[in-house]
Amino acid sequence: MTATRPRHEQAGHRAFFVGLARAFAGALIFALPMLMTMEMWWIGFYIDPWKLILLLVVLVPLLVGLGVVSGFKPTEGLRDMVADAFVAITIAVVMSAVVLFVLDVVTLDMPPREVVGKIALQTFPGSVGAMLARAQTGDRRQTRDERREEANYPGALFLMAVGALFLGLNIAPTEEIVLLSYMMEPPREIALAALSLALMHGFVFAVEFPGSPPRRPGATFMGLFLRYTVVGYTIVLAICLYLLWTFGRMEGTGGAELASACVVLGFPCSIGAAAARLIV
Amino acid sequence: MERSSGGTSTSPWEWAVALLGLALLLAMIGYMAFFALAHEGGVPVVSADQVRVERAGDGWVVRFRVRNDGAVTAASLRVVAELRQGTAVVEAGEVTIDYLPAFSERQAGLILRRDPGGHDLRIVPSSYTEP
Repeated sequence: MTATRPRHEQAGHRAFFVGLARAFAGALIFALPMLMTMEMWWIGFYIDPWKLILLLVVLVPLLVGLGVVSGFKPTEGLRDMVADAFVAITIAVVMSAVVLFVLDVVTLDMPPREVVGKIALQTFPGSVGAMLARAQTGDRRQTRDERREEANYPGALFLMAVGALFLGLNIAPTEEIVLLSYMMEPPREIALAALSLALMHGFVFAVEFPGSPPRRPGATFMGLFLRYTVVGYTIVLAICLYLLWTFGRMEGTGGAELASACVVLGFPCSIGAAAARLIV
Repeated sequence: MERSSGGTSTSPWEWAVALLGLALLLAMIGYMAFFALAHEGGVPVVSADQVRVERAGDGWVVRFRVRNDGAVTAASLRVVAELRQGTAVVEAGEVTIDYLPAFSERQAGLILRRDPGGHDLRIVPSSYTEP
């Protein structure tokens, strides 16, 4: 049947299925740690429905933004990015449903609230993974360095937010964040915040100066530190707050404990934020 | 047809999958909104029923089912059981269930040394925490 079709159409279909397979792989790699975390299953059924809805609504502009910032396939317009975002969502839903069903986390005799909650929660990391994997297709490699040169400041901050969200989502649902914040005394928390900033700046430095001579004449140490590291860490803390609120770790928690939990969660998030600019 | 307008590289297949994604997302959001509006707040409504009694080694195992007909999850749900002879409690036991989600059921077992057949067995949910 396919033999009668024009050659370029067959090639197009092949590229489509290869792209889907890549996206499935990306969704799996990103979401597997969360698919196999019991807190994520529990949060799936006890999360406030409105918080889950907000998470799903935020997902769409996040995916489209990821498509725009990572700037793959230069011929693509905004409409294609939107299509890519929804393709990523389809893949994430199917992947989460299959994996959770096989793992016996989702069964047929569960009420729909539990099934939908568990799958919807996993759709978030899964679709980010699928979107990033789709970004790896096409002639991206050639344009990578050019894009980095052009990469604008808001785009860089957006990528930092995605990186923070990615690593933070793995860790925020676990009990350990709250436990660590109870265990740690203020001096250690201040030390952890300082360590987060220092490591973040190390990554920023590595991105800015891949060779020995600085590429940008205006990029001084303090300028980079304030523009990327400090602003980046502020974004990281805001994302930590959002994640802790979404996963119901904020209710009834005092201000000091909340700040402490943000610093603890901010550690992995800041590494994710800084590394995102190297990876994506 | 799409190709002529502004160089789109999305194939009809991709548009189909994208539309499916949009439908799935809207369905999940719609269901959650419906659930939130239909069941606002409330408390867990928990009941326990005995399923089966089986001889196990030197004792007996009573399998029972707990069901939550409320719209909120009960965490660390304690279920206590009393085996009575008249008004006297001859044996007692308790089970803690980690989570009992809204409109869900879970099964658990109670291990007794006496045969519950000749006694009055009461299985009652007693407390929970909010997750």
